This record gives sequence, structure tokens and C-alpha cells, in this order.
Amino acid sequence: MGSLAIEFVEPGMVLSRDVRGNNGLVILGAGAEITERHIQIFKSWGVAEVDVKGADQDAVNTQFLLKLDGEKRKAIEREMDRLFQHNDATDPVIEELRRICLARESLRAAGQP
Amino acid sequence: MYTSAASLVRSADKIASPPKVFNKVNEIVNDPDSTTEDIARVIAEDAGITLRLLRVVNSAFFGYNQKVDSLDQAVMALGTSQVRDLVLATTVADSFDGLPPDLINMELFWQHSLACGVAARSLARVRKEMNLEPFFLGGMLHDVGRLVMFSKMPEQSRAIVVRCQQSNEMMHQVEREVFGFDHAEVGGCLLSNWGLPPQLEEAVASHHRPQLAVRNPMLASVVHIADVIVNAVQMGRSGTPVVPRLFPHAWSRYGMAASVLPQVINEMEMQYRSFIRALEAKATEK
Repeated sequence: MGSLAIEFVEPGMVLSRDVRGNNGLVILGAGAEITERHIQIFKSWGVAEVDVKGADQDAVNTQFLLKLDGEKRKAIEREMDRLFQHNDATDPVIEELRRICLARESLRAAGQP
Repeated sequence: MYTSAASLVRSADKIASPPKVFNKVNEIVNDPDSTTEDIARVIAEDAGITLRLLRVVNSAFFGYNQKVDSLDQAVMALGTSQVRDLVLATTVADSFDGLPPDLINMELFWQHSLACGVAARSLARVRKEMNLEPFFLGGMLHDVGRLVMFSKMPEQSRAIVVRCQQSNEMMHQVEREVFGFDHAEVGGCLLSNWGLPPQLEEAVASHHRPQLAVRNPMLASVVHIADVIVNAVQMGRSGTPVVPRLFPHAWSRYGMAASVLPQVINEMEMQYRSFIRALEAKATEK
């Protein structure tokens, strides 16, 4: 489960927690599938982020990698190759660590703080 | 030129002893007749450390639900040895004041050390270690040898940093090639001179070669893994531009699945931020 900045929320994602306005009232309940209209409403209420269903935060982050254009994506992959050059890429621990780092970098490149 | 890590540390008289307040606190902790008030009194003599300690105790890092607002309470809540370790963790950088900023950015160095400390602590917590403090301290101090090298051999150390940035070599290997010893060994010697526990000295000395550890292989392995993680996620800067090689043996000894990593990294980031916030809080804030 991960919390996602509103700019990155897309129709079809499913809420894992109620979204509330600043008056505390529920705008949309957990379990609802988000539509384009909902996203506009969230934005008009000043909702900064929502919790969506998905494996975990870095699974959510990994989605950003797929959204980046080819050049940026390649640049991040190259940076990861450089960073991990002294490590065995087939070691499951290194594989997992590299995946997390890739997700974090993609998130950064996609403009999230 | 120094022939060994030990001769280098011996020559570094300015840093031959740990921060003064740590020495005093350590003496008291080791004295069976001492009381918590004795420790609180020694720390109270240094307003800066008092403030830092109270902020850290009250931060989310320790997660006490009641506010700790006196040193006595802090010592009671944390226990004497944990207070001593925190005093060391928050004062060690002071011993190296005055290193030229173009040689080493102390803030980034401190961030790297702290990140490694909290990473080691999170790793230890995940495998349900009883006493987390040695892990935190081992991570905090793992690179302290680099500060000794920077203060005694500034030009050669600078050359090594530049070379590694260009070549992507691992710094400890270049150090061994150039000096015949590396920053890990130097750090171990320093901590040994400072009279810190041998298992801590060993974990710092073997953080790039954890397979050599015999006293407390788990501590050494965890500090090694923490250093790898922190260099991978690039919190702070250790001066090395690549992720040091992870020794598979260290991870096997650690004994958890690779899938614990997201949890460890999330926890480490939260603790890191709460620690930094605690230390950076302005004096006017409560």
C-alpha cells in the first residue's frame, strides 16, 4: 500500500483509505475505483496525496519508471549499472536493492520530492 | 608516509582521545558506585550536548509517549550505556572540527554516518536483536578512520577521492593500494585507542571485509550491509561514488530474506529524518 501524490493518481486506481477534505468529511471511501472526475474533485479540495492499493510504496514508484521517456529511463538504468558495478547482479539481495534504488531514482526524475 | 594504520593513529595526537565529555561519561558508567545523577551532572556541564540529547530522546527515534524534559529522566529512560553511546554519536564529529571544507563536506559525512547508524539499527531490529545500540554506534562510527586520514594525510586523501570519482574504484581498495591499509583499519585503531569495546572496534575495522570478524560477526555483518544500503540509496556522501561490494556471507549470516529490504529502508528513512529534525530544531523551540 502506498500513498501517491495527486499528480500521479490515475483513473482505475483503487483507494486503500478514505480520502477526506479538510473539514474531515469523506470525499471518497476506501475501495472505490478512482475516476477522472474524482481526481478533479480531489484537486479542488486541495487533497495532496491519496493512498492507493498496490503492492507497496516502491511498487508504486516503479510505475514512474515506465512513464519516463526512453532517454531518461536509459540514463537511470545506466546510473544504476555504474553504481552497482562492483556487485553481483544475480545476487537476490543486490537485485532487490537495485530495484528499490531504481524506483527511487525514477520517482525523483518524475519530479516528486 | 605512514607504514600502518596504527602508526597513523598514534601520530594523530589531537584526536588521540575521544571527546572529553564522552570520556567523563564513560568513566562514570564504568564505575559501579555511580548513580544516574552523576551522569546527568557531567552532561549538564555541556549545554550543547544536553540540548542535543534531550531533543534526540524526545524525537520519534525513540518513540517514548511521555515528554522527557530533564537529564535525570533521560538517563533513567535510556539507561546509562545508551546515554554514553548517544553522547559519543553526537559529539564524535566535534573532534574533527577544522578539516578543510573543500576536502570533506562534514555535513554530508555526518549524514552518511547517521544514515548508516539508523540502517544498522533497523536491520538489527528486523531480526529481533535484543540490544540495538551497538548496531547504531557501529554504523555511526564506521567511517571515522577517513577523518583521521583527512586530517593527517590531506593531500594524498584528496588525490584518492578524485581518482575514485573518475575511475569508480572502491575507495578502500585504492587506499590499500596506495597506503597499504584502509580507512576501516584506521577507524578500528582509533576506537581501540579510545578504549571502546573490542566488538565495536572490530565491526568498524572489518566493515569492508566482514568475513574477518570473529568477536561479533553479526555486528560486523550488519554494519557492512548497512554501509552497502546507504551507499546504494545515497543518503549523505561517504566519498565513494559506487556501492561497495556486498559480501554474500554477511547477508547469509544476517539470515533474513531479501524482501525485508523495503521495510528496512522505509524505517531507516523515517528514523533518519526524526533524528535530523531533533538535532536541527532551533533552541527556541521546545
